[in-house]
Amino acid sequence: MLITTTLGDRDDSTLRKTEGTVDNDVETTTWVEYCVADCPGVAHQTGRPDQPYLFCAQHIHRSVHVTLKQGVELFAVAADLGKE
Amino acid sequence: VANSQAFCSQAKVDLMNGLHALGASVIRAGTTKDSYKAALYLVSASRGAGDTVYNSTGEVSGSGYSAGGVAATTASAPSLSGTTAIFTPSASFVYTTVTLATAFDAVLFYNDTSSTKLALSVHTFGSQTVTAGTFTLTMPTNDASNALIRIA
Repeated sequence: MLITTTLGDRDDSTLRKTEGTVDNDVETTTWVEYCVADCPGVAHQTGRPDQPYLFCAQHIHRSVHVTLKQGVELFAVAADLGKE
Repeated sequence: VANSQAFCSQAKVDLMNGLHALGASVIRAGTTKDSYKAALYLVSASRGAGDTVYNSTGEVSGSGYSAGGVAATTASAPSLSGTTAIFTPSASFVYTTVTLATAFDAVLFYNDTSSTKLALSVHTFGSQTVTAGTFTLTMPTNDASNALIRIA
């Protein structure tokens, strides 16, 4: 499968793929990053993300899918007139 | 049955459809629904309840992203779920082949038909960046507990 990258389209078999999921009260998010096969990024060795919002800072493709779990709510209240 | 004070349920839907004008309103061009768009904002943008209109300050920028964001698909009209009026866009917001290198964490849903681009709601999520990729924001379930916009 061809992947759009900052280096142009690349076959995914030639790239290093990293995926992740976040699931909390707000969202379910999946992300995928592609790096060159021999990416020297430290994150690949330590397993720790380079930033909270990405895994390897040297990636050449990153896509994200966020599914929101809940929207916003307005409470409509009618005043209670003249009651004691 | 005794009388009871209430905010009439159908009126909540009617509000969503612009059928009440308790203050000065606008002259509408017709009876068709308005068009809405979804714009993404940087973590530092301070979007929230104080927003009144779409504002490009703090909006993301980058390859493949057009200022103002993407058009929302609103095929399903507001409806009642029990006594709660609900509305959720009928398709995900999809930003295709973009590079957004600075972290963003919010989307503004706003009225693109109105001359001032009236803001409707702000929704937040975990900080993200996108590189030569696609950012997809899928809507919550359109029910009384989760719909994107609810009047309870």
